[in-house]
Amino acid sequence: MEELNRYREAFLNLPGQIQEAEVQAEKNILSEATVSGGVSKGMGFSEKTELFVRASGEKTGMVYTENLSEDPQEILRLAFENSLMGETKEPMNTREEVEEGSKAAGELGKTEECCETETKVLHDFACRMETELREQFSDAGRIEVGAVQKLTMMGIVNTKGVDVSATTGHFDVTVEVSHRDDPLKIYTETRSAKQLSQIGAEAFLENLKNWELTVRESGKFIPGTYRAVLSSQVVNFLLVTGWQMFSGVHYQSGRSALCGKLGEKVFSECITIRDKKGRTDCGIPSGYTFLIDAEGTPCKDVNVVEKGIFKGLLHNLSTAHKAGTSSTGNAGRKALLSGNIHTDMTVIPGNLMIEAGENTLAQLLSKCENGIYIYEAYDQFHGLNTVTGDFMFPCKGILVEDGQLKAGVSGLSMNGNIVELFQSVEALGREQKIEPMIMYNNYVVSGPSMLVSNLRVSG
Amino acid sequence: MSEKEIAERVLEKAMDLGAAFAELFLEDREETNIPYQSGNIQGVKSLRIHGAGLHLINGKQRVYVYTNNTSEEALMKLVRKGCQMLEEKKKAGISSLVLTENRYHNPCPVEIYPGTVSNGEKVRVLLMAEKAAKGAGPQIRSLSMNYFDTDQRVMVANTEGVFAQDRRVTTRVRISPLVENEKGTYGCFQEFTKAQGFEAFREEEAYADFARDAVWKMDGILRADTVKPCVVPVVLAAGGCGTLWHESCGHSLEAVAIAAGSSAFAGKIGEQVASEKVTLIDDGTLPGQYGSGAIDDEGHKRQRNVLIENGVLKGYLCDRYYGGLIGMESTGSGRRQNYTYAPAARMTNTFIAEGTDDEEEMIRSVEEGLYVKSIGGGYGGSQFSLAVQEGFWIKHGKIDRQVKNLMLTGNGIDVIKRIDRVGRRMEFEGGGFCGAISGLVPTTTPQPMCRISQMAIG
Repeated sequence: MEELNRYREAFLNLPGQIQEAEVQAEKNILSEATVSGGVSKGMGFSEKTELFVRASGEKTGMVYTENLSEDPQEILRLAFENSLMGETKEPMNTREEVEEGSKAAGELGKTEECCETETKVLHDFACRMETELREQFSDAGRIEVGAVQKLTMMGIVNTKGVDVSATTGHFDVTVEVSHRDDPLKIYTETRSAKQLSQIGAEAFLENLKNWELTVRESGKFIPGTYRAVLSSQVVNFLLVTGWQMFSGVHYQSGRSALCGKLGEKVFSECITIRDKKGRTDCGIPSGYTFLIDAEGTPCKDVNVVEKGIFKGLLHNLSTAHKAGTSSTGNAGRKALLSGNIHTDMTVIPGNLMIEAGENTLAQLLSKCENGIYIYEAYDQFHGLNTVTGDFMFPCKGILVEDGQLKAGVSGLSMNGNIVELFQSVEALGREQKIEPMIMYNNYVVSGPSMLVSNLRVSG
Repeated sequence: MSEKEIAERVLEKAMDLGAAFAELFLEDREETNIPYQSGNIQGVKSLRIHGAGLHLINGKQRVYVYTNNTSEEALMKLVRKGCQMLEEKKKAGISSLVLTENRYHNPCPVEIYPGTVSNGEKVRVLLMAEKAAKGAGPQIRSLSMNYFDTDQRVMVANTEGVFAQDRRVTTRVRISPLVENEKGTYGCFQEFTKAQGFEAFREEEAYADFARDAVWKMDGILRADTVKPCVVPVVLAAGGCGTLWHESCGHSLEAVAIAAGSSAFAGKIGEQVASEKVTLIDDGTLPGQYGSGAIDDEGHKRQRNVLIENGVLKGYLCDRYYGGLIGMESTGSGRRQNYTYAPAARMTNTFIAEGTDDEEEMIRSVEEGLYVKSIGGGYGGSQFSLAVQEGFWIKHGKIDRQVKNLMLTGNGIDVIKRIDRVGRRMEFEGGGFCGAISGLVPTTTPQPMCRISQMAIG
């Protein structure tokens, strides 16, 4: 990346007090088009490069800048000055470590061939998608389709010989549909793929038809503990912050509900969770690819939970060193929603996914017999305490009687403990939506619909 | 060449290339973030957010493009890129544009700009907060904190000749104590937020008290009882409980929701939509408040907007684009997190105005019900659900015990009709971030104490 050239030069004349320095450059190019009623609602394009500069003497200091005209020597000096107030020294990769990691990951240097797509192409795609959805889903009121292409170029250069870069790209298509009979009832789903042509209306239609079942008259609801079917969207709500249970940072600092349980059976045997980096066609429902992380480590797939047994943590260099292992290439900064720029090096997932089952919704409901189908939840960033695993999410559901959906109920809240909930999973569905990180689209969580034996529901 | 001259050239180019309306937003923001974790200062982080956004509107079509390269060459490239996306181009009519600077007063004066303060003094704030938190009494399993300051300079210019600037300075300490006692472990973050410079930390006791309160709050929540879901009268304390109205009604009064047809308030101007006790206001001009400023992010002077008066719907919060879609003028509510977002109608400081009811009588009047002292996270819109952070059970007109694990749920347009008492004393709060279509923007939700006659809790 050319943005790093001035830093490569600056590294040749570092002030004496700076023992190590590193710059991570991340350039994102975003093109987007939104269509509703066959009319363009909005189009956009952006190109933004961020520089994360670290300098260490005894400790590590940091500067983030989007102003590319600033003098690299001055930025490095400021980063070093910032290190003087710190009490920790952050590790940086060496060239040897990166090369070793690349052997383990197998495909370093494999940069995807990505080219910028004109917004006109995105616009035309969105128009076609809207037409197809309207033709095949007659109960739609307003339909809005947004198509986005994101290209990410990442480069890391440091004074320990690391100089790596990678380019990745994907398309996200988001469909929003209001119901003809109730405009306040809105369905939203995002699908993602490497190519636009891989995202078809049929995948949305299957879920739309399930969603249509939720537009029903209100029923009488009695608070209590239910057998429950959770939709993929609801499982994703649990994972949006729940993934932190598997983070080396949280695990080592005592802030994971699974602390001390590595190697133990923690969930139902139905549950297998992997963090996939999407390099090859491994059947993941996402176009997101992760080649190197924010420390330059080549990204590896991680078996997090295998048939209910807690197998592995997501690591960056720091947590890996503490655990006496090597980084899994999960170093990142943009972990959760924030009004501030993320500056702390932490751990983030890639494609963190619970593997889907084979049950249709009808089969899950049949197995449920009597209970409740929770199809929508809200407030994804506040509902789960990742330290204890306790959760409480507002939600909507439909009562299930004799394996059939009956009356819809809203104003509910589901509560419990995520570890206990995943222990009570009896069967998994094939429905699997994805939930890209809302603000930065820099990672994805995804879980299938699931049948659980115990869920407390009030309202 | 000055920013103003560059803006003129960029906007002229946009008009030449067919934009009916164009707006350039330039932002340069310096921030400091000092994280503290488990007894260690994690190093100082200096941030520079810098870039430009170009907003083009032709009829119902909007185009938004942005870059962090603010050279004239890059901005001209951005204009060409943006104008290419316009479906119907307006014929060029004006060959030159003269920008006229509008100077507006920022109601949040700054005494000490954070950039003039040493890192050591900022670290000292965290160390004092740490000392206060650890000395509060309850057992703290882990403590994490952040010091933040922000100095944002924005410039907005548009093809109607507007040229306006604002400088917004804020300071903040976030504290996340993980408290444990015989009942278990609990933690969530609390923020000491000020629309001020470093003078916010002049009174050490203020933020030390805040740190101690945060620990006691966690301890109290852990020890609280649970209650079964029910429908009861709910008394909302004066102060930050106004979040309920922000979430349950405020978002539905933004032009974004009205234009999308997803608001229960759409088409109801002039109608009685709330209790007569309710006058709901959004005011971006309040002195010293986190949601205040000189201008909105479209260069429009901030103003006081009465949304509901004595229960009658008076208007919506409008930005240029979404307001235009519903045929309404801007109300100075076009806001965005930064240059990477197109502006949208957003709240600032949103509150129910003071009423005439006696605060003590509100509690006395409740045979059995809930007193809410603070509200946690939640979501708004046509149907809202908010977590009660600190709740107390009222029995026979008196506070009986602290309760937990409760959500306030309902429909905004229904619940606001059930307000039957509004207190006389307004209480302000520090403020926080509201997240929506144009990112996270600072807001406050003060209020006087008020009572809802009946509400579902569970």
